[in-house]
Amino acid sequence: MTTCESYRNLILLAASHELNTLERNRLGLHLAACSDCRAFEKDANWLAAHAAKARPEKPPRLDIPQLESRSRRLRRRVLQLRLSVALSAAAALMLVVTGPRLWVSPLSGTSPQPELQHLALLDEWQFWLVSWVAQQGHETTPLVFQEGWNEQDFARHLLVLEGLVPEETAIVEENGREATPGALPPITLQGYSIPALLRS
Amino acid sequence: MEERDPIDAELLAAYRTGDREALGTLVARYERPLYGFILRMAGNSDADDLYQETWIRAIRALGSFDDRKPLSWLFRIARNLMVDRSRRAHRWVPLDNDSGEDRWPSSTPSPAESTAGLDLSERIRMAVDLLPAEQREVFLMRTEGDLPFKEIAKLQQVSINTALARMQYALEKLRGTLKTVLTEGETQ
Repeated sequence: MTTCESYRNLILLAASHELNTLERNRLGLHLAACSDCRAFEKDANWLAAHAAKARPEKPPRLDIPQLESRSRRLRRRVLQLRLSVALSAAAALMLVVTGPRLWVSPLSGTSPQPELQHLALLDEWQFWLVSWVAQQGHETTPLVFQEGWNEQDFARHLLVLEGLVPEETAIVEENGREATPGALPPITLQGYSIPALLRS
Repeated sequence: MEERDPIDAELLAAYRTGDREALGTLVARYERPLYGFILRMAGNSDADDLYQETWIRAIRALGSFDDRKPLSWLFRIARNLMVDRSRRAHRWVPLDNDSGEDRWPSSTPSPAESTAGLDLSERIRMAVDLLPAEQREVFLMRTEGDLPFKEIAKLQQVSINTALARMQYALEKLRGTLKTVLTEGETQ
């Protein structure tokens, strides 16, 4: 049995032109016999018409050039965000593929668990270097990371360990500190030149 | 309003070739229903900002502009924006909450009493503002945007029957709140 509630759905759908002929005819027959639904239809139409008239004041005036400029900035931000998400995903994938072979072991001896820490503990720049080395298809040697090293120290150490740079080229003593000569192969890593990174 | 309107497509094409006025015309065409929807859903304090932000996002996404359903497209952007903001502010009341709870506190005068004495437009606006969010949204999408229920259901991610039920609840509440107005309308 069709209830008044379902006929009221038809009343609403009729107002939005979403009824077929058959449904319109069924509704017409019901309305002819049901005063409650006729009252509902009348009130619904009145409310719809008057609600549209009761619209608020005119919206605030928009400055189109300003909107365009903010829209361009938003587009750039979204693109940057997407790019960084994609790069992170690629790096994470690399980590999954090479992860079991890449570990970090602190040498300070102060850690209560000095044995192994997972690569996920690495900083972003370390992470990229490790990913990049793995991308080159080199054997990824278990890494030894000494506390207090900066990114140049780490990069040099990694490149030497992977055999990409001869030790004597990559690491020299200079006033008691490790320093890097310029004769490194021109390698680009996510926009950074490895030699430039090492020299910086 | 949801019919195919070649003028929109022409305006869009003109804008893409550098005609900034075309965008102004497009904005002017949909400003009132869009602003009305945002104002009634978000309230006075956030409406202007949300309205501007909606257009910023719309301009950014003009490539996906649907000239067969322009208002539906704009309402979707505005709705997503309102949902995002509410979530960020940790005060999100889910729009799909179908509790049907009234927003009217029990200790205050009834809606009918409180709207008495206001002019007709204000009484209607106030009565609409008192509807639960999900019912108000259906009512506004229907009356401000002239969206069909099929489209409203899609935007709310519910079945068409749920959208229709929400509209029925909304209308029943408005009939109750505006009873005297409706009776006066009958006698005139």
